[in-house]
Amino acid sequence: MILDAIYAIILILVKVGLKLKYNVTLKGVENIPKKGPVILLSNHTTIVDSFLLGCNVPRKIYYMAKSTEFETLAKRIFFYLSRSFPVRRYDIDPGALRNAYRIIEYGGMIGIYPEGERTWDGSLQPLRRGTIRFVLSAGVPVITAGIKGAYQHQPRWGGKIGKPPIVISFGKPIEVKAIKGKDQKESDVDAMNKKLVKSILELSG
Amino acid sequence: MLEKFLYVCPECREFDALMTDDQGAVSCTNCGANYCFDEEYNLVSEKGAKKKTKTLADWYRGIRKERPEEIEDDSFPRVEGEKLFAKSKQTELFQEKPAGIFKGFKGIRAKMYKFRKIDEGNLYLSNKRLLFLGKGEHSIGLDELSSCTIESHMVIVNTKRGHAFSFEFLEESGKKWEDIIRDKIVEFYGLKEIKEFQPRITF
Repeated sequence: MILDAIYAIILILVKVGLKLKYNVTLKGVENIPKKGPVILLSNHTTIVDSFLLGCNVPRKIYYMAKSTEFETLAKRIFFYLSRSFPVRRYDIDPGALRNAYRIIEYGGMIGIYPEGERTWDGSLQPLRRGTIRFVLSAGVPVITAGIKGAYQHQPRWGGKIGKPPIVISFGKPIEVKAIKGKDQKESDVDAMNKKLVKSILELSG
Repeated sequence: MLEKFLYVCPECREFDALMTDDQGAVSCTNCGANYCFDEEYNLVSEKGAKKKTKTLADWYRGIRKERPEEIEDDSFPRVEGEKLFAKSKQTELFQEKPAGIFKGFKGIRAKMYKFRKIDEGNLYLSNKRLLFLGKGEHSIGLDELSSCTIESHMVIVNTKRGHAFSFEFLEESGKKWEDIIRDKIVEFYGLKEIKEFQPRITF
């Protein structure tokens, strides 16, 4: 309860900070199911994407975040409060997968950036096939999101390109028929990849 | 800064030539070309009277055709048939070590790891291996690599033995090193097409 209260206060402060710094428009928030397990997949443009989504989605998001972010105690506390869990991006990580399934079983909303990292040049990077396999095996609704305009504020290589207004758009739920890992064919992964890429591009374009 | 990503000047094709000054202006120290973003967030190069405008993605795709040429360096302990292609400036070497357990909400549990600095020196990239020379010598064959990726500006490689190392390039682009290491991995495996470089190199 105390931790929930601390988190709520941090969220308010972050929301105020984002409102002062960025001009954000939301579209399609009504598409996000109010309850039940959901996988949120968004393009990854800047270091503040998780704050932009977290402060504008009417549900708690459990983020899968790179393990190197959890190196200091302060960051671990922060990620604990913000309901993130680590994934080692440079190895197969069954622990991260177990945690992701746990959140799905609990009925939570898990947030993943399927590109696996921030874009360098503003364009959508190839989606990680492991993420697509997880989406297929989980068999729960997917909400795709597109963040447009944030990249120019804080490109990954540092500096600044501009300050366009930011638009965050959420697509309609994509229903996914569960296909267990051993039954997944490459064509299943390719088909889902195509669907997700098309959706994210439309929302972020 | 832009040179962290555009590590080759798109105009003269020189590696590590772009520079951002204190006012944020980007120029090439080799050919004098200037770069800036326009109102539509495209990158404009200006060299003499000539201007070219492209998206940053298109400029980057253009420089990806450049490959570092073979270099000579007496400090590199070459083995039979080995060719050296890159030597880094000052670089820090880190090794991954276990660091306890992360306990999150709703029963979330994860093994934690930390990268601890183990050396400082120079990284060499050849057609056969990565070699780090600092106080010690650390060699990883290209055939031993199981993944290669970048986080922030640190290049992380994992090995088939499960030992992960990371390189922090203090004076140059980490993205450059991720790209050229991946290029050498592709060349090493010859005709095999590499689909992904992380979390595992997959064909």
